[in-house]
Amino acid sequence: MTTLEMIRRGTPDPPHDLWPRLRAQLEAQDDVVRLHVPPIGWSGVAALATAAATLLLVPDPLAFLITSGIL
Amino acid sequence: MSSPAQPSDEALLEAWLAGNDSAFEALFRRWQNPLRRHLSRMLDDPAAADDLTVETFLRLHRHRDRWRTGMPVRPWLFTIARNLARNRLRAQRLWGWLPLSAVRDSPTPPPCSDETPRRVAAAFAALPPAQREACSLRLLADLAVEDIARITRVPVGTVKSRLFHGLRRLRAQLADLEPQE
Repeated sequence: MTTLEMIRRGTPDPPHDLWPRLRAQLEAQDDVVRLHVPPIGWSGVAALATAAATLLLVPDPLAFLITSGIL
Repeated sequence: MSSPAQPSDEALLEAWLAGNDSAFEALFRRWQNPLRRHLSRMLDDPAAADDLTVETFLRLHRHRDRWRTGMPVRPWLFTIARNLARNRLRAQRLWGWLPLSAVRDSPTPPPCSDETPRRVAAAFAALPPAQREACSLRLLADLAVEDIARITRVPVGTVKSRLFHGLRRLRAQLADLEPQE
């Protein structure tokens, strides 16, 4: 018997079948509602960065937004 | 892993996506034991290997829309399993630093009269992680060197080198178990 055969023989397949367990988990999963948040694209990142910069850099952000016609 | 009489993994996945649920079961039954053998060697914990085998197929099920025709299934499957195993090992290392680690369940090998399984497990556990992974994928999951390179994200030459050195160590560690001629 070669070492490779011995390694394979020394790693026997577990006797139990995992399919019933997987099936039960899949059925349980069907009852769960998953919410997927769409990934933020470059335009979203740019908008968030602009908003953050406005809040940080402008002394009176509300007045700035009103005078620039955004609000 | 598939003979001419059996559909390929990709054909099974395609059939499943077309609505044939038994194709998913066939795919699971084909790969559950190679995955368990491999994960058991990587984690040195048969119960954790069972958990992650099921979790691998749950992820495959959840992300099935990511599969594209022509994409090989085996590397995808074992890459999911690899990521899960790495996360598990990382979490175990983190737990190891906490004082509660003493109460953590430790994996206990099943009682066995034959010494070979215990010695093989110990020989694998003594390998450096990269060699252990390559040897386990090749010997216990029967994957091709090219698939192992894809899964582990290293060149084929690196996989061959890891296999060469890993097998040499395994042979050295198990030499006394081999029958003398």
